[in-house]
Amino acid sequence: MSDWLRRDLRLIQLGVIGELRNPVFRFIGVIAALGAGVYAWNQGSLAGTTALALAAWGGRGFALAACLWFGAGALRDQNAHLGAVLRSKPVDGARWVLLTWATGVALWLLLLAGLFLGAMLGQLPHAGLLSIAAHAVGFGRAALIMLPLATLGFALSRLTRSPLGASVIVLAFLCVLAGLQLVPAFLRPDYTQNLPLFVAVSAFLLVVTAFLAERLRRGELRRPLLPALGALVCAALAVGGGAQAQQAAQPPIDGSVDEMMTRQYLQLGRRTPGFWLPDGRGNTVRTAAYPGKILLIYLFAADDLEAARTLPALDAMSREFGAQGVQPLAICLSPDQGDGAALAWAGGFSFPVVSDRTTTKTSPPPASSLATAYATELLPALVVTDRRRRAREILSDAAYSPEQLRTLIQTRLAEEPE
Amino acid sequence: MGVEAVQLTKVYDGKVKALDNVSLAAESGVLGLLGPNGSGKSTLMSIMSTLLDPTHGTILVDGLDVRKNKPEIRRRIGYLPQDVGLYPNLTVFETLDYMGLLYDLNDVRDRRRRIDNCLERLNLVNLRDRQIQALSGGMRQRVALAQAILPQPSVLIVDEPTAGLDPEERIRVRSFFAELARECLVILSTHIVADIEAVSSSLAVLRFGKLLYFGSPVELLHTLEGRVWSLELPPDGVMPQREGFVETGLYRLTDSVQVRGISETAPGAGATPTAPNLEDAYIWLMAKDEHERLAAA
Repeated sequence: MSDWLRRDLRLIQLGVIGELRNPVFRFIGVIAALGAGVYAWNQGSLAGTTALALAAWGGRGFALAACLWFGAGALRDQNAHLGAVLRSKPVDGARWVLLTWATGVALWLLLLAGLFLGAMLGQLPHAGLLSIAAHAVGFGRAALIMLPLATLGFALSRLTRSPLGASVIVLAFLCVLAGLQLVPAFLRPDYTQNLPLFVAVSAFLLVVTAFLAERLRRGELRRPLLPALGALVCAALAVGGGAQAQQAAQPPIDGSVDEMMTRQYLQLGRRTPGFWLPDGRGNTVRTAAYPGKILLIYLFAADDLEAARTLPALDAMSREFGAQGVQPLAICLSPDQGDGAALAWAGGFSFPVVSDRTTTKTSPPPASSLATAYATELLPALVVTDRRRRAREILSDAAYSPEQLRTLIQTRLAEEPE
Repeated sequence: MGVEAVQLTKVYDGKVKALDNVSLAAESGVLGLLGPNGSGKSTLMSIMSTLLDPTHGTILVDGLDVRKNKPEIRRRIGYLPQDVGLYPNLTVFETLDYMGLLYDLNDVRDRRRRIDNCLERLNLVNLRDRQIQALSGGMRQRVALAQAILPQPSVLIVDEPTAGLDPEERIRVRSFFAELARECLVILSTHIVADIEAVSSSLAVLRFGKLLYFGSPVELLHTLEGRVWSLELPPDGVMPQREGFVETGLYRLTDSVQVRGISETAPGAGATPTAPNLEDAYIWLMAKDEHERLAAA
C-alpha cells in the first residue's frame, strides 16, 4: 500500500473514531440497529421485502441525517479555531476536501451498516442465509440513496461556505418525499433508474468543490486545465444520467409495447393480457416465451409486506410443480424499476420478477400499463391461467400460503395434466 | 531562516485597513508582537501562516513568498491560533497523530518518536490517552502547542498563547517559548506586556494596523531613560494634572499611593526617577500615537 493511501486511511480512521465517540452517534447507531433487528424479527422469513423496506426508509432517513451532518461537518475547517489549525497544515485543498468527505462517508456507511447488521441478525433465525444476501442488497440500495444526497449537501455547503447548502438539498428531498406533483419523477433521488443522474451530479459538484473552488481559495490552483476537464467529464455524465432518468420516467408513447399492453383487457375464460417487461438483470420477460404452461401471474406493490409473503410461496410452487409446466411470473408495480430486481435477488427467487416501468402509483387503484390491462383495483392480484393462457382464476388483495397455492395448482393440473 | 514583512498592507472588504504598510524582519529568538485588541496582530499572524493573502506588499518566510509558496511555507511553520480548537473526542495521542499525518510525517516510527518527544517536553505524558474534552484550558493549550512544534518548524507562530491561563501555567508556557527560541524563530503575539518582557529578543508594537515600534526591547527602554517617574501620594492625595504626563501605573501601598508615569520633567515635588519597564514603554507608545492622531485630526 502506498504511503499516501496508508496516511489518508489513517486520517479517515481517526476522524471516524473521533465521531463515533460522540454520544449522539452511539445513540443513533444502537437505536437504529436494535430497531431494525426487532422489525426484521417481526417480519419472519420475508427477508427480501424487509430489506427493501428498510433500504427505502432507512436510506431516506439516513440520507436526510447525513446531509444535515455534512452541512455542518463540511465547514469544520472554516472557523477561526480548529479551522485555522487545520488550514495552516501543508495539505492540498483538494485532498483535504476529499478527506473530509471520505471521513463523513465512512462514518455514515458504518452507521447504516449497523442498521442492516441488526436487521440481518434479527432475521437470521427465520430466513437463514437468505437474510445475509437480502440485507446486503438492502444496504447497497440504502447507501446509493444516502451517498449522492450527502455528497450534494457536502459540496453545496462547502461551495457556499454555509450549512444552508445542505439544508437546500434536505428541503428538496423532503418535497420529493412529500410527493409534490410539481416535482418530476426523474428528480426523485430514491429511484434506482435516477441514480446515474444523482451520482454524476454529486460527483460533478464534489470535483468542482475539491479541485477547483477549494484550491482556488487556497491559492493552490496553478494548472486548472486537468481539474476543469474532470469537472467537464462529470458534467457530461450528469447530462447523460439526466437524459436517461427523464427517458425512463416518460409516459408510454403511442404504438409502443407499453401502449399495446395497456390496450388489452382481462376477462375470465379469455386469453390473459400478455406483457414484455424487463427483469432488471438485463433480460426481457415475455408471456409468449411460456407456451403450454400454467401461469401464475402475480401483480404486487414492492412495499407490500402481505404480498411479500406470497413470493416465497410462489417460489416453492415453482420448484415443486415446475416440471409439470407450472410457471409463476411476478410483476412488481413500482415507479422504481430497481425494486423488482432487488426483490428477486434479495429473495433468491428462481422465477422471473419483472418491473412494470410505467407504474405511476400503487395505492388503490394502481396506475400502470398492466394494472389497466388486468383491471386491477387492489394489489396484490393473482391470475391463474390454463395451458392456453386463458384466465381461470382471478383473485385479489390477499396473501397466499403454499397450501392455498398448491390447492389452486392441483385443481388446474387435475383438469389439464401435462 | 526567519521572517521578513515588506510594506505589508491588508484591507478587509475594501474598507477596513487591518495592516498599514508594515515592514519588519526577524531571524531568530522571540519576536514579540504587542498591541491592543484590533491592532492587526492576528491579521499579521494569519498572513504569516498563509491563511490570508496581503492586499499589498508581502511576507517572506524562510525566504519564500507567502503569495507563491503556500504549501512549502506550511511545511516549515508551526501555527497556534488564538482560542485554538481541537477535535474534542480524540485523545491527546490521536490528536497529535492526526496533526502529524497532516504534516506528511508518514513514517510511523518517526511520527511516534516525535509525538513522544512533544508529550515529554510539554509534560503531557500522563495525559496521552485522555480525550481533549476532558482536559483543562491549560492542558489543551499545551496540546495545541505540541501539535505546532510537531514538525520541528523553523518558524513558530503563536497568537495570544497565554490568554485565559492561570499564572503558573502562563509562566510554564512562557519558559517553554524561551527554550524553543534556541531552535527556531518564535513569533509571539499578545497584549500581555509581561509575557513579551520575559522572553522577547525583538519587539513590534502595533496600533490600528500601524507599526509604532520595531526593534529590541532594550533599545525601546533606552529611549525612556530618565523620563519615568515615581511619585508617592497620601491615600486621599490628588495627582497634579500636568501637560505631557502619561500615567503608566498606580499601586496602593499600606498608607500611601504610588503613581508611576512618564514625563520630560519631574511631575511634582517628591517625584523620583525610576528605571523604565516595557509596560511604561508600551503605554508611552500608545499615548504618543493617540496624541499624533488627535493633532492630525
